[in-house]
Amino acid sequence: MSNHQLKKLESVARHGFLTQAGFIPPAGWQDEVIADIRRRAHAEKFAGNLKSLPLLPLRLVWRLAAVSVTVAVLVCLTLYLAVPESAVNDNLTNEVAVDNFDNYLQIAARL
Amino acid sequence: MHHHEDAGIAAKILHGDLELYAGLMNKYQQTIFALVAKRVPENEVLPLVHETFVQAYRSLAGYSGKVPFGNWAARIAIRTCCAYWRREYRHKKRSAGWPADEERRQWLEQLPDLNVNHSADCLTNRQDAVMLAEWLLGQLSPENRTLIESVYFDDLPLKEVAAALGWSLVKTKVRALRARQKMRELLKSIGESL
Repeated sequence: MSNHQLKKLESVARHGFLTQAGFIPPAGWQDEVIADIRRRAHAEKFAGNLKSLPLLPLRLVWRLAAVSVTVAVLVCLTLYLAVPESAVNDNLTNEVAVDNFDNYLQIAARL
Repeated sequence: MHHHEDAGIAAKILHGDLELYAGLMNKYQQTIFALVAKRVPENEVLPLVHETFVQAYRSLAGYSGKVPFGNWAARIAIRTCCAYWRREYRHKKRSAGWPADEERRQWLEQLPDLNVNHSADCLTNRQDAVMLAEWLLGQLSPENRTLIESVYFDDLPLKEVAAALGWSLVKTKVRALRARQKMRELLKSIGESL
């Protein structure tokens, strides 16, 4: 492609930009903008109010829940450890000394 | 100096007199509409001008009054248009090649016969000229597209464009040069495909 052709294409492209159609705005478009600004301001004010709401009760509830779960786990663990082993287990373990792997297997086989 | 007047109006608007904003919009609507209309499809002009003025209001506290409100809002309009093209590019696939049907091919073949200094008004097919320009812009990134439109077709000073795009002056110059080179390459590729 020659420089001459390239220059011509460039000038045509430039012309393309310059001949974009003009735009005639509809009447009253400014009122829409003002209304939108007011709407967004109200929405932001509402969001701001929500943010400023005290979050303490919600946080307190979560903390109480966490503490309750921890306490419940501790109680269950204590009870589990405090309750003596069942008689079946006692019999099983009394007969065979639990001192090596074979003994473990024997106990397991009886179970 | 009329921009001092704008600054005064802006201060009143910030103090709650929102109705005065309609006056500012009326005063500069022509500038902003013209700027946006050159950059985006016709059906997108009004929503983007709307968005520009809403954003301008939200940033009004940052308007210092050193330049007319219209120039300041124009920067916001440029950024709004750039954001529009970013969204468009994300959602739509750009055209891969020059759509060279027979009619357009003939049109391109006739180009060497035209005088280089030929008046643009005498071009036989304005629609094709617009299409060529649109296609070229469509091959650039949204930022480069905004840059080219502003520098080469709106004749905005580089400093102004750099401020609008949030770039340094050097970066703006380099990107303008590269974008122009890319467009030149694209035009060459059209010529070679004939």
